[in-house]
Amino acid sequence: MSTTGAKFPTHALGIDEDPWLDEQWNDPSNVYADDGVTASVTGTKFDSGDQTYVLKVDVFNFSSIPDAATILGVICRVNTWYRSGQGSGSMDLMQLLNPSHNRVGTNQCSTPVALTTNNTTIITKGSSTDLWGNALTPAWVKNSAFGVGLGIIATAEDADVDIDYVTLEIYYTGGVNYTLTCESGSYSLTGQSAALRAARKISAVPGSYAYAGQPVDLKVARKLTASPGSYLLTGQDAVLRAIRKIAAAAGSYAYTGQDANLLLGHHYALVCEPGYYGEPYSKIFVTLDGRIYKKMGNTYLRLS
Amino acid sequence: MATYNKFQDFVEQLGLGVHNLNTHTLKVYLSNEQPLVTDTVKANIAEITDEHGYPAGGSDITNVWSEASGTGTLTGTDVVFTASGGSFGPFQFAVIYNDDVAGDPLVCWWERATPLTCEDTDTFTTDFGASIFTMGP
Repeated sequence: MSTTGAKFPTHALGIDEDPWLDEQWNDPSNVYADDGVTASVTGTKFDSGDQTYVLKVDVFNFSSIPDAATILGVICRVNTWYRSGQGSGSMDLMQLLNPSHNRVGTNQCSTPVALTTNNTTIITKGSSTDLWGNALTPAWVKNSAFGVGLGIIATAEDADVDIDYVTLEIYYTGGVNYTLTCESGSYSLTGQSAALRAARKISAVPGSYAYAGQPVDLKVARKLTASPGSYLLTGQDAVLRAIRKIAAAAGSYAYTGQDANLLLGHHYALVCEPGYYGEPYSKIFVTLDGRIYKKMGNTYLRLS
Repeated sequence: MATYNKFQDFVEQLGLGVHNLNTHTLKVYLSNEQPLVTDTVKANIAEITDEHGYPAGGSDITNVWSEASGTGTLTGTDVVFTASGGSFGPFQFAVIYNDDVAGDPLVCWWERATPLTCEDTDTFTTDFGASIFTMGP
């Protein structure tokens, strides 16, 4: 449920409509604001039983009510009183106006409400669920002719009555157009600097080239096969050194050196296969168990 | 104006090629549960009851993705929810998700200042303006 809040009229006029046709209102437009300045009836002939003209107040601004809304209720508030020592009166008319400016529906003051001399007295009629006997619509209440007709009956001789202000408040539901205005988001695309490196292929034509540079130490890389788990690998670098093969051309070479004394064990014999050995057998001596033997053919001669 | 809020996961899914912002159907739905930036899918944020004019899953935003001068822009058509035959809500959040991807991954959301219940004949419009979001330098 929504409400317009209490709205003041911006137009008012006193109209004689039976039976409210005895006394005209002074300054009807003074009901537009809560300012102590009043519309009034002060004629000396406003006596008991006389009724004021109908004070029709209209041109309220209910433009905030959505066109598709449902009107639920109307509340009217009138700040009114009679002047002390100037008779007395009662409000006997409070009825809504239709778009034709005619009074329609329930007269909320069909049972007159007695005024007081207190200028702060507010007569309140209607409620948030009271349509005053009308099928009110947004188009109706937003029409400039919509308003309320008010009337006062004198209850003593030479009454003076005042109205400071009149308000209408309308309750409604639905038809409200809500909008969620969505702010646009943004995402930034940023990147890191990249180092670009070129690799150039050098092509060479067939021919001879001299290469210079430092020797290369080749180190063996062993393939290590291990079961899953953690291992601590320690050790020294391995250095492979080349073994050179000495090749000799065909021809004669002189060998020099010392004679070799072969010491044999007790049961051992030096057996030479048939062939040429290049050294005279006489130079071969064998020492066995402290004795010296010389090979003679296929046997050994004991010399000592 | 309601502030645009990001779901962190959206950026990841975008990079993984999950979202096609031009051909997939993005929808906006209403919720009264506070979204978290760490939410990833629609199921993380409860949707209001589908009733009286509010459809289950929300409504298609008729999204379009375009690029100009190195900036990508997602646009969408305003969505109007109209209460009919009763009220729907309350809700405080409008959330966009991708209805064409399994799990309904989230895209973004906006928040109203206060929860709202739309009464019969009320309308609620999500006005996306010129764009939903932009992406670029």
